[in-house]
Formats: sequence, structure tokens, C-alpha cells
Amino acid sequence: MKKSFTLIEVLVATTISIILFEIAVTFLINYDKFFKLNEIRIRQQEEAKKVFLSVSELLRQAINATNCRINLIQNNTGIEFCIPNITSNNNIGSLIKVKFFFDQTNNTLLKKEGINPYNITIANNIKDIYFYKENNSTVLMNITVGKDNEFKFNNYTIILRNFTPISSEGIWIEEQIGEGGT
Amino acid sequence: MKRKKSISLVIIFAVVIMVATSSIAYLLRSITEKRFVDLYKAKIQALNLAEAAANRGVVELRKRIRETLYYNVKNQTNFSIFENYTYNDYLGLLRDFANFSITNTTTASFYINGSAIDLSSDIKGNYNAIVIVKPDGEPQRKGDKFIFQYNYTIEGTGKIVDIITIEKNITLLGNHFNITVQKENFARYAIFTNHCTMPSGQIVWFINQTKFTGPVHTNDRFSFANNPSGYFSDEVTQHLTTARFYNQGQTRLLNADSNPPYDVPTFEKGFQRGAGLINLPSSLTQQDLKKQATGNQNDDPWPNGIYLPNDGSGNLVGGIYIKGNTNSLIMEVDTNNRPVYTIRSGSNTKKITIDYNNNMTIVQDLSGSGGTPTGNYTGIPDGINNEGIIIYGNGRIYNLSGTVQKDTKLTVSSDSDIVINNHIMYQEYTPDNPETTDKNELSAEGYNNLLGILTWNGNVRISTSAPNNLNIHAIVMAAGRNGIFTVDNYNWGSPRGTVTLLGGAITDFYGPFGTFSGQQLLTGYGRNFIYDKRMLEGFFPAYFPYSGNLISDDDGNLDKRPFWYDKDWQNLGKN
Repeated sequence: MKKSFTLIEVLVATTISIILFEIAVTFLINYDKFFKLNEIRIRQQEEAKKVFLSVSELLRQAINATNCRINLIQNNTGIEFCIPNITSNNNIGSLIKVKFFFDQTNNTLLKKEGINPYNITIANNIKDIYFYKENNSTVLMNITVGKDNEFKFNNYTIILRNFTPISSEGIWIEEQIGEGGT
Repeated sequence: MKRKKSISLVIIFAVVIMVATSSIAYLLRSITEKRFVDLYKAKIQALNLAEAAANRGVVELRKRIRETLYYNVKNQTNFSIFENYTYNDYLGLLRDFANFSITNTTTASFYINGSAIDLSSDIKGNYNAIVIVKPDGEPQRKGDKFIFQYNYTIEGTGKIVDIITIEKNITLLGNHFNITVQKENFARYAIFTNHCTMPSGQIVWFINQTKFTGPVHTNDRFSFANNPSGYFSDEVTQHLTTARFYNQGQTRLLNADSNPPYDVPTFEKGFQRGAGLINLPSSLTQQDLKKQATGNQNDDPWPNGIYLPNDGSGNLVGGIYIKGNTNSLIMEVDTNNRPVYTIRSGSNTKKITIDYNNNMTIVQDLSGSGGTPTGNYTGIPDGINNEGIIIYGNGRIYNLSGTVQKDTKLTVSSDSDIVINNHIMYQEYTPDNPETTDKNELSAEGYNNLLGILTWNGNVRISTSAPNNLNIHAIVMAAGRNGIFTVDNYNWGSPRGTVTLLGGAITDFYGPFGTFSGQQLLTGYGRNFIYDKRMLEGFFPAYFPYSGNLISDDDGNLDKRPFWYDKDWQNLGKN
């Protein structure tokens, strides 16, 4: 004889199944939200790290030259300076002008280096970035990445190694005059 | 029924697979992110290790120049061997005296290695640096001085060997620097005594009010009292192997630089005991100086008077030579900014004006006519070797005072006593700022006026007619047996304030200036000796005597911040 479920058994089983299914779906939805949020955070931090790495690698080499000093530009949202181009004889052959600046339209940090006519995108999704000179040997950077759930990092410190003023009269500055494309 | 069970199983599997897939993706993302962070961390650590290596290179370079080379040169007695390094062996000085290796004829170098553990860190990595020195100009010989010109580069490498292996290279481009090797001049000492006692044998204790900013030496032993005791910013050397310590009244002789907790002096550059004997200059040196003043002429037939030896055609060939005692020697500066020396010797008084701009010396008789006649002479009385103005008296020189003109390097020398009766000051100097009571800014650094007062067989004395709070800007030397720098009647009368000496004192014995009860001055003067730091740079009074030692020095450019660059970026990172 075939054994069949009673109505109550079917109802209980269905209810339990629905509850379990809802729990699973809720868990998956939350898990997905959590995953996406963290992914956004990680990406924001990656963008910030790209900025820190790119700016600090160059800025720490900046030279305090008589004809090319470290200048804050665009209301502190950019910075320009010169890096010496060292020849094989360990002499300063020329100075490479470097400019980091914030493109508010596209929320990107751009770099212009030497005679390269193109702007290089360093990082995206930047909400704002500010540079400050704490003293003649220290530059601070504040950065906010993203719009919602933004990532903020303040007072990232870059120590300048070559802050002692040197005369650079007669040394060629490698610089692209005029605006270049991206 | 079986079908329903299968569907349930499929649904469960699907959910499990979805969760597992998401978890793996999340885990992989985390791993990637961690690797990125590890890479970033390793890069920073490698950079810091590379910088540590380069900075150690700078410190080691300074040490090799300022300690290894310095002491090896000091132990050398043959000055002429340095001549060899001026002929196509410019780096030989560093090879033979500072332990550098010469890899080819143009490069001297040494290596530094270490691990991050040495730096008290738990970072897994190591560092190394190579210090490279190259000639930067031909060596020069200027009289008794060799100047070797170099520049340096330090290449530092930091390597992290952990989950990630990464290497970072940085370079320090140093400044041009000079190393000078020369005969040691007595003028470089802030205090030098043959015997570190009063002529009476009374011990001179260095206490916490003793502060010397230049080299200090005695051929005897120093005596230290109290904790804190004296402060010495430069090298301190004594010939004997034991120093004397007060030890709360129970005097002890110890081969040590302190007697804690009772007597603890401070030595910024160490206290060397058992140093070589430095003999005060001989009569031979005196004769050399006299020759400079007389222009190597025989003064025997000359009657007493004031002479500016010349060739008979109006060209000066020596200095200013005073035969007989000098009643007064007053140094002044006229309205045309020329130095004027008014010298009275017996019945003869001459006014000697030196016109540097026109290379001329004007001699005027104010009274008497003994010595060189009135007239204009070509040249200046700066001796045979043209080192600077030399005034030499073969008797006593009384009443020395006045102003040393700003372009004048002068030595006043005498066979017998030299007596100071009024202020002697440089025309140009940086005065002390009375508002900063904790330090004394008095200095002649950056100026050219310089005076040496040198007696060969007498004392340098401050007379009873000298004013209170006397200023003396000069290097004072009493080179003869029992020679002292002292105050006449130092133990008589009322307190006379302080003698401020901008220079140094080189004597046979330590001369008394006054008497004290505790820190209260009872009679005579207190001492306020300020070392003239120009002596450390080889700027000595004209014809001042040398000791038998050799010394090396650098021009201070090793202290300037070297130029830093990221070698990896320079090689690979540029567009």
C-alpha cells in the first residue's frame, strides 16, 4: 500500500521550506551587499594607494631649485615640482617638471611629467584631494575617494629628501608648455 | 515523491554552490588585496633599508675622515710624504690613512653591510652600501699645508626577503669636500700648557664653570673637580696617563676620564691620556721669526730704534723691528680705514700707516729719528714670506693696546714681556648679545682681522693700569720657560671684573688672574675665555709657531646634506 503524507505534514514541510528559503535568500542578498560594499572600499583604497605611491615616489625626490620650487597649485588640489634627471656621470643633466592635479570634471588625479604632452591618469573616482606644506621638508596630503561610502585619509606625510636650496641657474627644465590631451 | 526530493536536493546544492562561489571570490579578492598590501609594505621597508644603508655610509665616511685619517696623520712625523699624493696618486691619502680600497686610479671606496636585525627591527631583510670617493680637482700645496679635493657618492641598497622579495636602490650625491693636512699650529689650541699648574705649583682645578670650545692640551695632567665638572667640546689631550680627580678632597690619580660619582667632566670628543709630548717652540723658531721681521738682515750694528727693513731703494723686505724696549705700542684705524701703529721706543716715536690699497707704508717720526727714516715705502711690513704684518721687539713691549684693522693679520712678538694696558679689540667682530645670558655670541668668524701676541722668553701680562672688564681679542702665547699669561698684582686690591679673551692661551704654566673665595672674586679678574673658532679652519696669526705634529681637517662639507635620488626611478621609472 502506498503511504501518503497527511495535509498537516505537507503544510509543515512547506512552511519550513519557505522559511529556510527566505533565510537563504536573505543571507545571499546581505552577503552580496556586504561583498559589493567591501569591493567598493577595496577599490577606493586601491585608488588612494595609487595616489600615495605615485605622488610620494616622485615628490620625495623633488628638488628645491632656485628656478623650480615646490608649488601648490589649483587651490591646493595640485602640486608641481622638479625632479633632477641624473646623468651617468652622476650630474644633474636637467630638471624634469612634474605636475599632479585634480580633474574635477572626471574625478581623476592626473600627472604631467617632463616633455610628455599627455596627461597620465593616476587614479579615478577621486572626490577631492588637497596638498599642504607643513614645513620646508614635509608635504601632507588629504584624500577622499568615492561618492557614497567615501574613503578618507588625512595627513599622509611625504618627507622631502632634497629640501636644501640649490642653485639651478642654467639647468634646462624639461617641461611641456601649453595644454596636452589625456 | 522521488521527483520532489530531487528538486529539493538541487535547490540545496544550488544555494550551497552560490554561497561557496561567493566565498571563494571574496577570499581570492582578499588574497589579492593582501598581496598588494604586502608588496606596498615591502617596497616601503626596502626603501627605508636602502636609506638606512646610505645614512650609515655617510656616518662611516665622516668617521674615517675625522677619526681614522686624523689619528693616522697625527701619528705620522714625515710631512714630506704627503707630497707624494699630489702627483697622480690623489686617492693614496685615503688608501694609506683612512682604510679605503682603490679599485682603479679614479675611485676609492669601502663597503657597509648589515641586516634589518642590526637596526633593532623585526623586518626580514638586509642592506648594503658602497661609499665611493673620487678626486675633484688637483691637490694643492699652500706653504705648510696640503689641500686634497674630493667628492663622494653613496649607493644604498635595501632588500626585503619575505613572502615577497623586493630590492630598492637609492643614491646620495655628496658635496665637494676638502681634506687639509698641515703642520699643527699652536694657535689652534684654546688652552695649551706645558704644566697644568700655577708657577707656584698650585693645582688648577677644572670645575663646572670651566667651558672650552676648542682643543685643549697639556704636557702635564689635568685636574677635575665636582659633578658636573668641566665641559670640553673639542678634543682634550694630556701627556701623562693619569688625570687628577678631587674625590671630595681625597685626591686620586686615575687612568680614566671621570671619577663617578664625585668628579664627572664632559668630553664631547673624548679625553686622550698618554698623548705625545708637544714641545713649545724652540729658539730656532724664534730666530726664524726674527728673520721675517729684519728681512734676514743683520741687526747687530743697528742702534736702538724702530726699523722697517728695506732694500735701500724704498722697497720693504721685512716687518717692523724694534731694537730696545718698547714703551708703548698703540694700534689704531685712521679715517681712511688704514691701520696705524704708533710705537714709542725710548726717545723715538714713529707713526706707521699701512696703505693696503696702494701697497705702500708711510713712516713718520713723531719724536726722535732712530731707525728707518720718515718717508713713503713700497710694500707692507709683512715679513719675507708675506704671511701678515709682523712687529718684533727684541726687548719688552709695554702698554700694548688698540684696534686691529679689519683687513689685518698681525703678530706682535717680543723676546721678553708683553704688557697689555688697555682694550685690544678687532675692528670687526660679532659682539655678545646681553639678552641671551646662557650663551656668549662673541665671535670673529667671517672676519679677517686677527692678532697674535707672542713672547719668547717672558710673560704676557695685564698691567695694573688696565681698565676693569678688559677685552682682549688675540691668540696669546708665552712660549718660553715658565712663560705665563697673567695679571700684575692679581692678588691685590679690589675685584676688577672679567677679562674677556676672544682667542686662545698657549703657555708654559697656567698664569693666575685673580683670587676667589668660592665663586666670589676677591681680587684681580675673572676669566671669560671665548675660543676663536677660526683657528680650527687653519686661519692662524702670521708666523705663529708650529708644533712637531701633523693634523688633518676637513672643510665641513661632509656635514652638508647630500643630494638624494631614487636610482630605480632614474634608471627605469622615467618616461
